[in-house]
Amino acid sequence: MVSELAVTGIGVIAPTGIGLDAFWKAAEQGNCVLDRVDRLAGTGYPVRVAGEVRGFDPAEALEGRIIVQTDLFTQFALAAADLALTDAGLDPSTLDPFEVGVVTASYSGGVEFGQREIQALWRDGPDHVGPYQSIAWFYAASTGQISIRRGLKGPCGVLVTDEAGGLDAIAHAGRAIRRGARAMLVGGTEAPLSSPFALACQFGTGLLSASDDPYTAYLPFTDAAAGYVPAEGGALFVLEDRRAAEARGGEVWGVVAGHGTTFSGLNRFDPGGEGLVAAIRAALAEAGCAPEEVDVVFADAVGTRAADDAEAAAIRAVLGANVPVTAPKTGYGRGYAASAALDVAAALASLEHGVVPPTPNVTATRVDLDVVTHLARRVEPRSALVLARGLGGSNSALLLRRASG
Amino acid sequence: MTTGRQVAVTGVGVVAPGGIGVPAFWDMLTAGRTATRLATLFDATRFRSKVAAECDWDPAAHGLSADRARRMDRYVQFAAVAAAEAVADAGLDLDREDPWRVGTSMGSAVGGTTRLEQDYVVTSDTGRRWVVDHHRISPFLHLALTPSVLAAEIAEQVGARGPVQTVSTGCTAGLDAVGYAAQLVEEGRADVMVAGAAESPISPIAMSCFDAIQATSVRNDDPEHASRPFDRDRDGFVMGEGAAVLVLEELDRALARGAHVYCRLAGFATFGNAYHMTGLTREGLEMAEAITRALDHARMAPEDVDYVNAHGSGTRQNDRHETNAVKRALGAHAYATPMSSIKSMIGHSLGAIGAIELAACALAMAHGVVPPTANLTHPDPECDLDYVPGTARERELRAVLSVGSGFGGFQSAVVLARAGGRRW
Amino acid sequence: MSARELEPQELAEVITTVAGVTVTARSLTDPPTRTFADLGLDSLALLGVVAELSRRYGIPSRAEALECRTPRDLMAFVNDEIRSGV
Repeated sequence: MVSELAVTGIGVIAPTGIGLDAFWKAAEQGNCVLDRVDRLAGTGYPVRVAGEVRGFDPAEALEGRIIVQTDLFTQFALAAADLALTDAGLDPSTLDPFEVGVVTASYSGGVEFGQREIQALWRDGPDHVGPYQSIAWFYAASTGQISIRRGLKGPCGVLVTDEAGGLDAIAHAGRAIRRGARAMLVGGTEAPLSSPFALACQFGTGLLSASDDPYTAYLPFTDAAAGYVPAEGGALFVLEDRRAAEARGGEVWGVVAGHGTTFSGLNRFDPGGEGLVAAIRAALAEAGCAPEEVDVVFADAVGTRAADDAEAAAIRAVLGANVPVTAPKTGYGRGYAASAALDVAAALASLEHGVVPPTPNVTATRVDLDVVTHLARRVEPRSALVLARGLGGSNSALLLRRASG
Repeated sequence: MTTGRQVAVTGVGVVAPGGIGVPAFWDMLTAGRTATRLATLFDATRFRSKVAAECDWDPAAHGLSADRARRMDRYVQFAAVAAAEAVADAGLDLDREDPWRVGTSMGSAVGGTTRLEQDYVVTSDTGRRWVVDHHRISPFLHLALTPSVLAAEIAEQVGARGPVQTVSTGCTAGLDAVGYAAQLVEEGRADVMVAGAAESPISPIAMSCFDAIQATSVRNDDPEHASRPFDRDRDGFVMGEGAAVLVLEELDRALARGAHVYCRLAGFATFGNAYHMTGLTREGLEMAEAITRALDHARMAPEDVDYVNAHGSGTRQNDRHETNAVKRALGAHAYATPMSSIKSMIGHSLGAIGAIELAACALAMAHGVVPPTANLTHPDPECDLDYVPGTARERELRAVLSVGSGFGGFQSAVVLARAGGRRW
Repeated sequence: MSARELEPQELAEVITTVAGVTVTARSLTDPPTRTFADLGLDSLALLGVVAELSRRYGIPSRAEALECRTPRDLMAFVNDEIRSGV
């Protein structure tokens, strides 16, 4: 019988920094690193501002033979997996390889690699497509590469539920542990900025901010909300049965206590927040957590009036208007399959440090919620609720608890 | 873990090359007919492998409105039609179900890449521009960028509001999507899961990337016999397309409503080989482990398996790997167990095939017939099990095993068992 | 068709670029029995290398090229093809 699902390792590759310490410091200070992106200059695209990971050098993190066969999204995942295992103090080679598995959330796969190879095919002919296209572009590339590079033969999975994927992947990995896995690497990464084609595919959603001002481009819950700013990066976690983790001397960041997921219809955010309400209630029910015990909410924060109002309505309906709500992602962007994984990293650090980070750039809000703005707030949260919704219609909620007390 | 909740398969729907709809599909499998031919969906002139197993597809003829057909990629259309058939077959009135207790779990390896490629060619001036012309991009192309749309479209269709997820573990996605769905039913997170997989990868980019690694058959002068699992003269897999959907329900409620129960989904396991993104070990240790754990989950012994539905892709390394894995997991019983590959007839539809093979297994149990392996005329001496060459075989099937293997090193196994069979 | 031959330096550059494994011209054939596997090239990497050489030199018998287990064998094979004018 599994005691509790403990997060024992966190690996972050974010626009605000590599590694949890840098990421958390920026979040706590409310830093905004959104910026105009050189890669997009001169394209005429209706997206100018994004959250770029600027400090990541694949050659420092990975072997050359891995770099040539992977897209940046997989390179992020491999590097984040290494960081997470180091942070957990877990050397998987000391465990039965069948007892350690990998689950990643995926959204658009290896888009830059894919665009390069499709270009070679159509410009130069079929025999110009390289041998790595078959393993670099597809959505399962990161799970497979992590499993191979770290020798993990346990349950391997890949879920695609858009922005909700990070939360759903953690729930799925928890399921694997309850069914006998000893430890799981789980999370999500995304690299949507390096492929002009993949980026352009998304213009039709009408959700990307067209602003060229980094400080006003992404302002969820405000009258000025004009969409979200895309980001790259991601996070991976080591998830273990708490007793087993503590028996090996592993430190626990926090506990995954409950998860809920529902569907509200393709291509729309549930107008009344009904689906999100059901997901929140399911997460609380699984955790045995009363609404008043939720101390902070990490919001999905899409950044359009309709989506923000629906989220606010859902939070109020279950938790009331007084729970602190934050969205640190306004400082670095919304990263698709990476989005919720980065929120979980922020939430775990928030529980650990007793501080709720602010929502950068957001000041006056239009919703009846206690949105944490300007400065971090010391509230010593014991539990944090992370919310995420995908344009594909998923609503997910994950309840995290502090490791002690 | 045991919750006491068991999972029944109560509905089956299939769209496969040469067999659209369950009756046509089952008829072709038991006749041992092959649907492989020279590819017609794109101009294969400059390609190494020119063979494919294609669906002759007319969405309107299968009940899709022009509106839905226009919005949906080909693979989603396949899934929509298969799901409608499966739900009707299950006799489920979804209007009377609690929508929060109904979910979907759908697999696909490459999703909407066929449509992505078509739009890419137009917007990139046939690859001349790196920065594509965004003015010419369809406003719905984001739906092709990510396969989440697959599970979402099926959820819309059946009115599901519970867990809705697309599973994209490459070529084991079909088995995994159904396996994950069974886990959700077992754990009480849903009562009904509409689960399956779909793929339409017969496109220049998908074909060329398998050309580049020489994984596909070049028997271009004899396409009908190109897919030759376990045969000495096999030379790679034949790309296929299609979809299958199963309706999974909590067993007691399925019995209570008087549903026809094909079988239970009794066991599922998946592992990575942690070896190579495309390569397989000779021993098949990890696939053997998946089989053993799936049997454990089903509370069954190797001797209980009456039929193995093989991955049987027809690549040189796969068929040996798999033969060794099955021997390792089932021991001497492997030699007494028929094991066939329907990829010999309908090709390898990547993420979809696992679900199509599960549909074939459910039908095999219902009919007491093992489908054959076509084109197996000269067995590979290293593949020495009973692969049911050429002709279908009558046999009472109480439990069957379906296995899959895919890029990334993933190895999955599902056990289906007769509903009245062994319980714990 | 090019009349020039494939030299160790060029093969080393192709391997480094295509397979991401940094090798020198000398390390390819010293000792002469050194295999691609010894250098850290797997089957996919070798496919990539042969495809690139084929684009540069035109090698009709790619399948045979893929049978070569050492850089030395591969260079000999490619240069035979070049000399025979195919």
